[in-house]
Parts: sequence; C-alpha cells; structure tokens
Amino acid sequence: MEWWVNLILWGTVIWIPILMYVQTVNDAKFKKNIAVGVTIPPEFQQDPELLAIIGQFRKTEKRLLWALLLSGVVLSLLPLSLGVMLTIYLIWLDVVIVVPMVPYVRCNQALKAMKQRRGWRRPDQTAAATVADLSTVDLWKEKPRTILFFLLPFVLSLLPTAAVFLEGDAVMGWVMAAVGPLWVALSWVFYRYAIRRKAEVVDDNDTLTETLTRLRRQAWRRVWLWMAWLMGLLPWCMVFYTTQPVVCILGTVALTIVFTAAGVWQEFRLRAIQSRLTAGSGQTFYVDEDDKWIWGMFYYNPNDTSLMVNARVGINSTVNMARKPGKIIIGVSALMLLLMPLFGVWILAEEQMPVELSIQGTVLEARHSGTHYEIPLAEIASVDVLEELPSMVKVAGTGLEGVRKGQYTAGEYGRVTACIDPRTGPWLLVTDDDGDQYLLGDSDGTTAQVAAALPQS
Amino acid sequence: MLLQLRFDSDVPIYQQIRDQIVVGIANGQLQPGQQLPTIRALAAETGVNMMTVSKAYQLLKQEGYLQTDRRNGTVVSGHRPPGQPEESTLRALRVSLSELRLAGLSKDDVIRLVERLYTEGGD
Repeated sequence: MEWWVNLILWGTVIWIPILMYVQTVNDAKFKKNIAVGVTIPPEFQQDPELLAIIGQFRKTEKRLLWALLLSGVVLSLLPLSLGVMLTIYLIWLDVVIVVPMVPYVRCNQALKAMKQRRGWRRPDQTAAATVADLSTVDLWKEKPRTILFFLLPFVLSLLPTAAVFLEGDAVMGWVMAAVGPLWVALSWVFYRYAIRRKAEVVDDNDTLTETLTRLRRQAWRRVWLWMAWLMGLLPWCMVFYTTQPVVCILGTVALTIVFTAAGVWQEFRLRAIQSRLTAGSGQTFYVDEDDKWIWGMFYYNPNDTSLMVNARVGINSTVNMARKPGKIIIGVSALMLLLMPLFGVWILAEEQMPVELSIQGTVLEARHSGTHYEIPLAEIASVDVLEELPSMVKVAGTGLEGVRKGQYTAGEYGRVTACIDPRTGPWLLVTDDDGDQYLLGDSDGTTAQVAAALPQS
Repeated sequence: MLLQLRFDSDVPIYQQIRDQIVVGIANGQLQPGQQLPTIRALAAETGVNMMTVSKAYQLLKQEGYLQTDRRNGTVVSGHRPPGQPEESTLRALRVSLSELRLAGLSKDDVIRLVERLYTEGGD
C-alpha cells in the first residue's frame, strides 16, 4: 500500500480515541446535575467518595487513551496491503469506540450504587414518572429562520451539478445531485422538523428551562445550517474529480475537517454552557431520570410515546429503546459497528481475487468478483491492444492495487467501462457498435491470447 | 409551572393533568389569560398520548377552568367556575376528611391543615 494511502487512513481514525476520551471525561463534569449518566442532588456533588469514583474513572480513561494512541501509531507502521490494513484499522476502530465505554459503565454503576446506598434517590421520580414544564409553551411557536438561508447553498450545489449534466456526464451528475442538492434539502428538513422534542427541564426554574431549550435548539439548527453549506460546497470540489483529483480530494477533506471541527466545537460549547447555567440549580426541586437510562446512555421508557429523544447532555439525539423501532435502530447500529471490519475483509477479498477475461461462445466476458461484463463478439467494432495504461481516474466503481473496475476516465480515450488488473498488461480497449468503450485485461497475463482470438484484433 | 405525572398511580393520567392544572390556577402559577401548550405539544412534552391530553383539556373546559381563544389557543379562563362546588368535589372532600379522621386527626388539626394548604394554594 502507498504510504500516502496509509497516512490518509491513519489520519481518518487516529483522532477518534482523543474525541472519545474528551467526551467521556467531559461527561464526568456536572451538567444538569448529571455526571457519568447519574443524577446527583446538588448538595452532594462534592462528596469525597463520589469525587474519588469520578477521579478513578478519569485516570482509567487517560491510561486507555495513551494505550489506544500507541497501538494506533504501531499499526500505521505495518507494511501490509490496503485490504489487510483496512480490516485492522476497522477492528481497531471498534475497540476504540467500545473499550472507553467499559470504565464509563463501571463508573455509572458505582455512582448509582452509592446513590442508592446513601439514600439520594428521589422516590417521586422513578421510571414511572415524568416531568414537563407548562411554561415553555412559547417555544413551540418559535419560528425558525426562513428557508432562504438554505436556498443559497441549494443553488450553489445545483450549479456544478447542472453543469456536469449539461456536459453529458449523467453518472457523475447523479452522484453530485445525491451529495449536493439532495443533502441540502434534507438538512433543511432536519433543521425545520426534527426540532420538536422535550424541553430541557432541570428544576422548577422556568427561565432556566426556556434558556437551556432555546440554546439546544439554536445549536441543533446551526449544525444543520452548516451541514447545508458543506453539502452546497462539496459539488464544487467534485467538479475537479476527473480533471484534478488531488484538488477534489484536498477540497473534500478540508471541508469535512472544517465541518467536523465546527460540529465538535458546537457540542462542547453547548456542554460548557449547560454546565455553567445549571451549576447550583435544583436547590428545591431537581429532575432525576436515571431510571429511564440504561448505563446512563440508552433511553428506555415504556411510558414515553416518543421515538427520538434528546441525549441527556450536549446536542445529540438518541432513541427510546422501549419502542420497537428504537430497538431496531440501536440493534442495527450496534451490528453495523461490530460488522464494520467485514468491509475490510471484503476489500481484502476484492484485492486478492484475479480479474478474468475470456471468450465464452459468442461473447467476450470480463469478470471480477460480483462484476460481470459481456460484449457480444458480433457487436465489437474495434479492439486496440494497449501496452501502457493511460492515466485513469475513477468516476464510480472500485480502484485497488490489483483491480480497477467500473466507470473511469482514461486519458485521451475518455470515458470507459473498466475491468482490469493494472499490474498485468497488455490491456484491451474494446469499442462496440454503440461507441461504448471497455478497457479490459486479465490478471494471469493471457490478455494477448484473448486479443488474438477476437475477430478484429 | 411543572407538571409531574405518575404512570404507576391509580389516578388516570388525564385526571392527574387536570388536577395539577387546577392546583396551578389556584396557587397563581397559572394566571388568567395565560396560554397553555397545545394538545400536541403537551403530549410530546410528557410522552403521553394526545387523546389523554385532549381528555384533560376537555374536562377543564367543561369545568370552566380553561377556554379556547381563537388567537391564542387554550388559555386559563378569566372567569371562575360557579361558586358552588361540584358534587364530585364535595364527594372527594368527604372521602379526604374521613381519611384524615381515621388517621387520628382532630377537627382542629384538620382545620389547621386546610388553612395551611389553602394559603399555599393547594401545593
């Protein structure tokens, strides 16, 4: 594998343990009277035993962070193929996401046990109770900003997409339409409609509830507006995909980094505000929903008809696992997380599998794993044998060390459907009666024999 | 004003909503003319069915505690319900007084308790 591919892979994942650490340790700081998913009465938040449990949790998370970062550095030095490295990185990613949760859950359980032992649980706020603030009614009438804020990124995304369609590149056009205008429109839908959730009730202070709710909604809307701009600008990078792929990749990476950084900043800024505003809250009454949160992180409330609910702190959302769709969403997400390394295994299999080219009766057949192209011999207009590969840029398909298949732009030949092993020449440029071009080749070096057997080689 | 519902209570949810709004009006937490959440909003806030909230609001409207304003939706009524208590209220009061009596409270104890609760507005 090329060093720069390894560097990109490494750069894509190495920051995740840091983010996990920052988030889990941030959870240990009281916000809305909650630390590590446990609600503690304000007067006991400085209890020495409680602080010792939280302190131990922080230390364990820090040790884990260093161990995970070190393992990440070691992994980057392994001289392995893309498929193997991808599989290892994806397994490592699972470990990075799951392992920091273990001390979190243990700390959560320890705090809950201590809360029970010390008699800090509120008998009136069990899993079978709920609290709502009637005074936050005005928030429901809050009108979000006009759709005009989304029109500009929508138009911005539409321009390069339309230009690509007009140039006759329908495949690329549809890819850009799916990335750009469609996502801008979806961002508006999330901005406008995914906001109707419970108010942020911490205690009996109406003003605090209203402030926290407004801040969270503002943050939510801001993130979707940013998402619209990201998706509005991405098609401008994609325009360069075929002519200047480096510009395209760098632009896409830069935009993604900026958006991710802005999203993370927004999350932690909101958490800081929540922490500041709710410090000292709940002196006479405080909300305690611990019984509805498994391990402090999974919402389970059979008395709540809502599917989507706010995460306890920060900007995020989660689902109600007491509802069937909630169980399915969490189950599928967990499965996807655990099966993520299979993607690497699939790439590994794709990498290892040879590309085949043969004449089967009256058709020229190119085959690689699930991909299969057939060109009737009677429809072949011309065949050129290429000793050198033209510079190829992928439009849609697979591009690995041992295989290139799908839609490509191939230098002076323009758009081709490829199914080749770029390591083993020569290669055939086959043009059919409709003018469609195919760039084909075999992994075992028998392409020349196939060419000789073709009618117009 | 906070609404606290208990799903494990023998009192139906719509009744809990109704009772707490009445208490809120009595103790001044809800002022005449003050707007209440829409049925949909309150259902979303509490996680209960819209029909349950609708039933509570309907009851409060029938009793004269709430009224529907064309511009502002459901608001706390400016007019008090008729001075004479409803038969159901008297029945509930009789039951409560009997319970207090059986619990060993004297007439003076009960009067003092009622005076305190009345001053607090029913909290």
